[in-house]
Amino acid sequence: MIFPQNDYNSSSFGFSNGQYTFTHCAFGADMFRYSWNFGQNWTTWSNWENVTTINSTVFDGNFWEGQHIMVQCELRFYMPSIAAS
Amino acid sequence: MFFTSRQAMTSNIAWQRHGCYCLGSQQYFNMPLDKAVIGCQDDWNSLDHFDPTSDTRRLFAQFNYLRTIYGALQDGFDLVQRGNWTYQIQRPGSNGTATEMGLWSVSRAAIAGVQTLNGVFNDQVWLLFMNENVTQTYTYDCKQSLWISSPFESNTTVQNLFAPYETYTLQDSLSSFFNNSQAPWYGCLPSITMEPFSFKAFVPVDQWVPPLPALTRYVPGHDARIQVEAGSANATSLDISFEFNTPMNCDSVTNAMSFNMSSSGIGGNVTVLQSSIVCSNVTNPILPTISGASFSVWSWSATLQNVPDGILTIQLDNPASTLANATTTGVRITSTQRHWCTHERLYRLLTRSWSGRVPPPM
Repeated sequence: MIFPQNDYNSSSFGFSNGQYTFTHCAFGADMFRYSWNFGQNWTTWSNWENVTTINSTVFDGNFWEGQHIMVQCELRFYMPSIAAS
Repeated sequence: MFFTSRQAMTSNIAWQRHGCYCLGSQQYFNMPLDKAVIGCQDDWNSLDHFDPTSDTRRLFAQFNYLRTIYGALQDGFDLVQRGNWTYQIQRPGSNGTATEMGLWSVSRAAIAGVQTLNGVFNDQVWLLFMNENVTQTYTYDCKQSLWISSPFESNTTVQNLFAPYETYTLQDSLSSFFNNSQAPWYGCLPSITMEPFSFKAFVPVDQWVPPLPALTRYVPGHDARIQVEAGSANATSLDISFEFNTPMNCDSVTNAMSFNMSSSGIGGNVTVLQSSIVCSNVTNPILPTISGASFSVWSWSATLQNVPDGILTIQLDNPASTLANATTTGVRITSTQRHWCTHERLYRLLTRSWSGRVPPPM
């Protein structure tokens, strides 16, 4: 995330045709995962994609109204080979 | 920023979000917390701090480099105080403990007959240091008792191993170099100006070795975050410049540069716009705030093209200085006895430019 103070983005999270979508904008990340219940459970780490589709049923167990997701991204920094030579 | 522990070296916003320090200190009298109490308002604190252009990093690299060249600085046990021009003060809150203020002259060498030093040069090194927080000029008559004493013979020209690498020619004192009441005499410095909290290390000019080439500045800055609007004319171009403490070979810097762009598979490959490359001398450098650190004398600048959203790492792999032949290894001694050392390992460090771009709100 380039500007980490701007980490809340309601416009990234959308709903259409019975499915939720999350449009990523943390460009540069290699992996991501998300939580549908404020961090109690997380998905496994997945490869980066531009838009993540989330079936509405993942929110079914929540007792509160409305949907919220938390997204974490991971950048894989590879040390250049020159550093090891 | 925390008072008792250090902040993260990597980019991390947690410390900044924790808030500013707002207590005082029971242990230290009138602790000048200054930056600590406004640290959470300074975005620099949450950036990455492994900055290869940092003044302190460059200065410590020079310390270590000098230790490899001058055996006395690495291992010399013979530390001699040549003189001190000091006085005692009582600081508030120090309960009668005095603090000595002023200028010291010290030499460092091997203990003759006991130690065998390594390094390129094994002779003594002369150190001057001052702990006043203002610029002070010390001027004393070389024939009087307070003369500023060096460990070298008079008429020796000495050169500072730290920036700005200035030279002085030592004058006759009344102190006999061979302790036989006749010439040659010990060298005397008739006058010296010391910057606040400054230090100098002198060797005879024929033993002086130039500093290794090092990065002094990078624009837009280490871990800089840059916002551009999608669709704007310059959305994928970026102006950068590197400054160095020694003159460099322009083509060599260009060829030594490589890019690693983390952009989640979106966008093209970063390239240097060749027609935009400008190499020039820096005539008005930003001076470091710490004593002895080298400053910019030469710069390389250009425009990068095809820069996508994401994180850009720029790497400089061993660009050549025009001071020395960069392809040689080890120490090369010329016929004039100027010792030039290779800087082969110098650029094995990353220059990270984190060029971040965010799209406009959807």
